[in-house]
Amino acid sequence: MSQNAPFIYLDHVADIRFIARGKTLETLFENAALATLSVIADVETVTPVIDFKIESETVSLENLMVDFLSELLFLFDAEETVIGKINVSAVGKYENETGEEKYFIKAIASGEPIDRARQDFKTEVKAVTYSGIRVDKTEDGYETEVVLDL
Amino acid sequence: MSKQDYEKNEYDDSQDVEKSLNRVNENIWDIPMSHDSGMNVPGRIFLSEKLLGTIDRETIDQVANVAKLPGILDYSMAMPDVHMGYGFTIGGVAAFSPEDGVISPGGVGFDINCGVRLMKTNLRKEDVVPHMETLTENLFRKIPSGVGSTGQFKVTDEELTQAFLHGSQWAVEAGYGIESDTKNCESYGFMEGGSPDKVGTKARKRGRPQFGTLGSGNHFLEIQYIDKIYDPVAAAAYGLSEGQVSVMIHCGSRGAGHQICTDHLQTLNQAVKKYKINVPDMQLACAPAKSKEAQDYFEAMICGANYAWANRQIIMHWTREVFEQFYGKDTDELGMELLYDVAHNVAKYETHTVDGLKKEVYVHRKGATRAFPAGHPEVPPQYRDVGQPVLIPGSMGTPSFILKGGPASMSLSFGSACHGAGRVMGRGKAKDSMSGEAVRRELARQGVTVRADKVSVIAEEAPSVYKNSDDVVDVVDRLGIAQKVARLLPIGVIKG
Repeated sequence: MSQNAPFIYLDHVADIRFIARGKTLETLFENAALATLSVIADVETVTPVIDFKIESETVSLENLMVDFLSELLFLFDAEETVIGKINVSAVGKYENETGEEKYFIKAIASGEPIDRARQDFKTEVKAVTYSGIRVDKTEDGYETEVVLDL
Repeated sequence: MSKQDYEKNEYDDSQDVEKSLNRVNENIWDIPMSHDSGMNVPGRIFLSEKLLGTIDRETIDQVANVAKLPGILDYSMAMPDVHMGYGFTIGGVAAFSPEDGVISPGGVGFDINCGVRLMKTNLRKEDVVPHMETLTENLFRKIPSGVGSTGQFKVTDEELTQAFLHGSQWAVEAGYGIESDTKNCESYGFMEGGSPDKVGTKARKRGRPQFGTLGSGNHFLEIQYIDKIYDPVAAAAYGLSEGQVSVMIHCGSRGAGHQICTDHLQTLNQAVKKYKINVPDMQLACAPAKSKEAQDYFEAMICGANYAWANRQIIMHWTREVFEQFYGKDTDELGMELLYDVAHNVAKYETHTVDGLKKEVYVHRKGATRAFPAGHPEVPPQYRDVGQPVLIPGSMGTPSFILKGGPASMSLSFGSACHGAGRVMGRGKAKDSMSGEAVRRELARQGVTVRADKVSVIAEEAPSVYKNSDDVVDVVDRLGIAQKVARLLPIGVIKG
């Protein structure tokens, strides 16, 4: 994969697998979100008119990735909104009062109401899986690999 | 079609695959415990020489991974339609002891109670073929399908709770069906023991707008006719005859089920640490069967399963309305009776014989169907003399099959059989290698009318991306797990 490509899809017999990269954790999560959203719709055609705040925390970066991407699927189904733009303002970790490491994300997802007459949707994503998931530090940033259940 | 040779997988690891498998007989291939460290039982794939080329290394590793879970009984099994999934394979069957075994959402999947139902009619092939364009168009307009589609009716919170608790039975009582529908359904249309309070707000929010929708991807509604009867006695018991038209509905629990699985995986991911369970893949997250975490998931999963049964019931009801309107006759006059409805993504607490003793176990079927034989108490009385109807959809444009649960299913496969054809090519590759329009034209030439939300889905679901359903069904038939009763050929397909 080109060093500059924000994400690529790898073939999977039943589902879809992608690798996303980012110089920072924030861009990594943004690119993983775009990889997921681009399976559903052509994100460039979405006009961002509604904002949703996403704040999540959990025990590892892998769990954080699944939780964050799952939130985008939730917005599509439950809020009936297609997300076209993601702005991740912070990804980080802290130790809570019991000494546990917690990873957190703060992001804004922007999109528009689903309008099937106008928008051209591609494929439904049922869920974000933990199967073979990884979030790794690389020489020049971060890389993640995720399988989506279609 | 039946002469299709399966292409070797991309990296041609066929030699590697054959070395990993021990041939027990012509339809059973085992993965020895020496395959990988930590396996508690061997793996077992029900297969044939012909289908051997459809198995890749990753599929074998996934079967072996399930064998590493605590308390697994007999074998980590896979049906002949097996292919790589996430966590479990698609086509996987695994039973766990309630004492020292686990319950894992990975063994059910996100689409809880994805399944198939078959509605009979008394129409003949020649009654419907001339009207196929109109019928498929009317069905396509009536039944919401495709990405982002929402239901025709909005359920209240209380109705959703009732659907979680009572599945098809609720739908029939609410006016979406007739009394015999629940009698002709696995578990009589719902599983007992669901706890709606174990279903989170998000799952409710995702499930509500999607109630009564088919979904997209491999989900479909198909008008078919019976072109061949293999077993006249069973066919008579099922009320089937050559030339008879039926409708098959394949869909699941939509966003409700997907979110139930997502939410509980989060909890179970923590539970594996708490209970010190070593899982080879995070998607196999699980907890001891009797633990609160596992039981909470199980009770929520039941709600998801019941939602799916209600969903298929409502879609069948709308199908009946389309036929009634078109033919100017009612459901009774058109003989639109449910033959059966089977779940193929579910975990169930069932009685099986393990090491010669009757025992309650948690059977996980992920892309596998129940196949209970004649005489089994959970087969509805009207079918008990012949065995449970087992419904095996083919891929788009290829034959589907009705089988009956066979005498060997209880001893060989925890009462389970295959669930479909099984993919051999990914969606991306399918779209790159053929055009949806060309596939649609080819199917039209073969007498199959396809009405899809998008042309691209026709390429993604083209017959050539699946194994032949004939080859898959032949394996379970030869093993006596499930035996062929009738073959169905498609004439009209609605794809989401």
